[in-house]
Formats: sequence, C-alpha cells, structure tokens
Amino acid sequence: MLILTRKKLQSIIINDTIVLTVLAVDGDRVKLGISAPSEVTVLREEVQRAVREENRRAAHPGLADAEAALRALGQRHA
Amino acid sequence: MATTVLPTIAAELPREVAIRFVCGMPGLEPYARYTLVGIEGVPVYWLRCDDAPGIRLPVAEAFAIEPSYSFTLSTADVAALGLARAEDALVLVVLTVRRGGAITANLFAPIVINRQTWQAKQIILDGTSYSLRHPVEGFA
Repeated sequence: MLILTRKKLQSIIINDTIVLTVLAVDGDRVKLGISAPSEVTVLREEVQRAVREENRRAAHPGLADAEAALRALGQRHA
Repeated sequence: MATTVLPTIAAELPREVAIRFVCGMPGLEPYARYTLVGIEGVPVYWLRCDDAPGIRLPVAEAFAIEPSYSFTLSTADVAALGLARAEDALVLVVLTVRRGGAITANLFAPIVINRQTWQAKQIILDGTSYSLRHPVEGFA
C-alpha cells in the first residue's frame, strides 16, 4: 500500500485520470472529493463488501432444497 | 445523460440462455460466463456459473418483486452494456434463500441484462435506500 499524508485541500492523482482531494478534516472524519471518468466506479469499501458478501450468500443457499422454496413463492401473494 | 430503466411486462426468455457479464460480480470476480435457466411457474431463474458448476444464484425479475422499482443507469453503464434502448434492459435481482427458508431480494445491486446481446452487469445503487435484503413473500 502506498502511504501519503495530505493536508486539507491537497490532492492525489491516480493514473492521470482520477483526482482525490481532501476537502475537510473534522476529528476522525475526512471529507474526500473524487473526480474520475464516468466509467470508473467509486464505492465506499463497506458498500462493496456488503454486496460481495450477499452475492456469496446467495450463491450458497441455506436450504438443501432451495428450488422448492423458490417455487413455493408462486403460491403466495406479495 | 443517464437512462431510466423501464419494467418489462413479461420477460419471455428462452428456457436457457447464455449470459456474459461485462465484469465479474463482486465476490464472483473471476466469472463472466453464466447460463440463465428458468424455474417453472415463477419469475425466478437460476444463474448458473459455466466455469464453476457449484456456483448458482437464484435471480428474479425485479418488477415482480417491487413493481415501483426505479433507478437510473449511468451513461457509462449504458455504454458498457451496449444498450440502444431502455426496452432492451432486463432487470433481475439476486435472491438469497436463508437457513429456515426466508427469502430476500437484493434490490440494492440489481443485475441489468441487455436482451439483444445478453451482456450483463451488476449495478450497485449506492446513494439509494433500496435494501440489500428485501423480504420476499410472493410476486406482484
């Protein structure tokens, strides 16, 4: 991991196309601004981690006969 | 400019269709090739990983679970999927079957599929209040 120290309003440039700027520092919270091309996805780590874990859970159903449970949804009304 | 995705009234997909993810889903990054297999009687399919036979995810038509589901696809995602028209987008959500039988749908990260090319991408709706684990009782 590359470790850099920035003061408020200083920036980091990644790959010539992504700019990370420290906008404000307030106690243990840092407000960051990110400029990136639209095709670059920018996500808070915990958000991506939550999706990753939910995908993995979905790929390993908690029931031996998951298909029966899925079919049974057709018998109930939303 | 971004594209608003419209609900599909009836997916009417072939029994089995080959899907190609433009990038691997979070947690399943190595895998791009899947087969979508219908389950009789319900708007639910298995998304079966071609390259890892033990991996299969239940997915459902999003609008059968949440008829008012609405989100915007970024221009970048529209381009990545090669979507020419909003009508070409099929929206599926991943279902988690939990121990005990409760079923939840991931409305926070839908899978959008281009019905012309069968390219797919899982889109994370960061900034919306859609649930990662929306309880599913039945279909609309």
